[in-house]
Amino acid sequence: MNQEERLAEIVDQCVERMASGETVMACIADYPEHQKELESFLKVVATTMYAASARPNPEAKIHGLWRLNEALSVRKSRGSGLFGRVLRGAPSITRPLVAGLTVALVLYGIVLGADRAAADSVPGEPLYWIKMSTENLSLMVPKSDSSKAHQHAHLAKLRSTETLRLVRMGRLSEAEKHAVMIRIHLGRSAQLIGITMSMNPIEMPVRRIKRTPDSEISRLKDLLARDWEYANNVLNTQLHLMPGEQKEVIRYLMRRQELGYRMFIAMLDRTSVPTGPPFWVIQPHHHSTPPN
Amino acid sequence: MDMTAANLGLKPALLIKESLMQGESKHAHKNDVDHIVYKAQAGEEYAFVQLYEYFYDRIFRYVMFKTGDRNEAEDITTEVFLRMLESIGSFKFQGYPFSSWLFRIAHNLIVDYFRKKSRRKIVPLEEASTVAENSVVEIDNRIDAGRAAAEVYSAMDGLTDLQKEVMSLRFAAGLSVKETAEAVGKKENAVKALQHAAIKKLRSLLDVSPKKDARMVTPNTG
Repeated sequence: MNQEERLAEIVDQCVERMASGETVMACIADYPEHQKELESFLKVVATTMYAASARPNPEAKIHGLWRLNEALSVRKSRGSGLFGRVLRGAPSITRPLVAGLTVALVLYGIVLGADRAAADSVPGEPLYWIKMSTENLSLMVPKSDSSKAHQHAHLAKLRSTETLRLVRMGRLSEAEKHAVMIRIHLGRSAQLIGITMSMNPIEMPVRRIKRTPDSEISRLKDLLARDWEYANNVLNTQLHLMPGEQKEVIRYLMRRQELGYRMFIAMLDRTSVPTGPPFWVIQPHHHSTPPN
Repeated sequence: MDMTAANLGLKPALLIKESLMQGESKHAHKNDVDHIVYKAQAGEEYAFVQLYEYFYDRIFRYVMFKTGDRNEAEDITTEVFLRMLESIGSFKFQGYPFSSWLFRIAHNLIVDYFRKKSRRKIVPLEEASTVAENSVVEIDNRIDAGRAAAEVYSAMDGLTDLQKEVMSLRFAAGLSVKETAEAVGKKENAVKALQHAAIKKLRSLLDVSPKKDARMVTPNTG
């Protein structure tokens, strides 16, 4: 190893030590024979490290995380359709059948090439009708009521994401109107499972009119609990980033979502309907207590 | 470049350590990262969030160092993770670390950025001061630190592309020599040589050399 290589090796070792918090002087002290050269090199190293030590803006980091979560939702919805499940679960013996579907899928892909672009769209945007058409087609594909119930639960989550995007775009009144779709999908999911949802369980007790296996009920309940936690976390994160007026809309959306999800989960559990905020506490004989 | 030995020798190194180590472990826990990557490839959503948390600051520092533009650095950093999400299935554990693959994505996005911009933005002194303020908790002589940072950004233009890449990965991203070697497709010895050559070049461009250092000048006692 020649002198230059030796010096390069020492500089590199000092780079590692300085990155761990050691000082320039501490490193130079270990190599007194190279003091003059090393000092000038390590000054450059320290200055460069300093110039390269910018910290990210916390808000930008949160916003990036939000975009990642959105992309995860879109990715998940792409893989949740009938075809996605067939491909993932298909044993090799069915591959000729899968190959036979390729022609149909090419046509499907052409149509859904537009759907890919539409995946992030919200109401009022030109491609939103493609997204809705694709969802409606998917709902028409024959599947069990339990699967459709899951699908509607997933669509409730998608509507929640769209609602949040409308809020971020400043389209507050549209966001509030669109949030109704979350409850509609949750209600439809409940119907498919065989539960009559009621906002007044005291006078209209919950009935389960269809015999659905407990395992399916349990799966749906887990999905709803995860979706609500996810949506709540996303909305909570955004709450801190929003200005005053939008904060109130976010809080309203959070209350409405909590109402829908917790009612549904409680009905699946056959437990008592929650009575704290945001739920009404109705006194049957005297008066009704407004929500907190 | 007017930096005292005290400033250079003491606070920046400690504060850089704080900046680099905050919320992450440098070079450590490779097995943990590999495990998280496996889970992400299996479709676990939370694994993606973990990878985001683990790598975000380093990716940001790398992109910021190369572009000098905070807004662009934030956008590009987010885009890195969106690309990671799309293509993580194509990553193969073939002996080189996931970090190298991820920084390769960041590098490609930066190349695209410069193609569109067709220039390298030099950070003005005012912005460099902001960089300095955002990057350290407390430091003396902020104006000098900001000027030094701006001079470094400017001097980086005098390096070759490969030297710049090595400096960015080693100093901004905090990659080890091995990780850097994998990221740039060179051997470790070559990376050390490139690093040394880059530091030497910066030394001359920043006018920091042994003979010009005031401390080396013998005071005139006569």
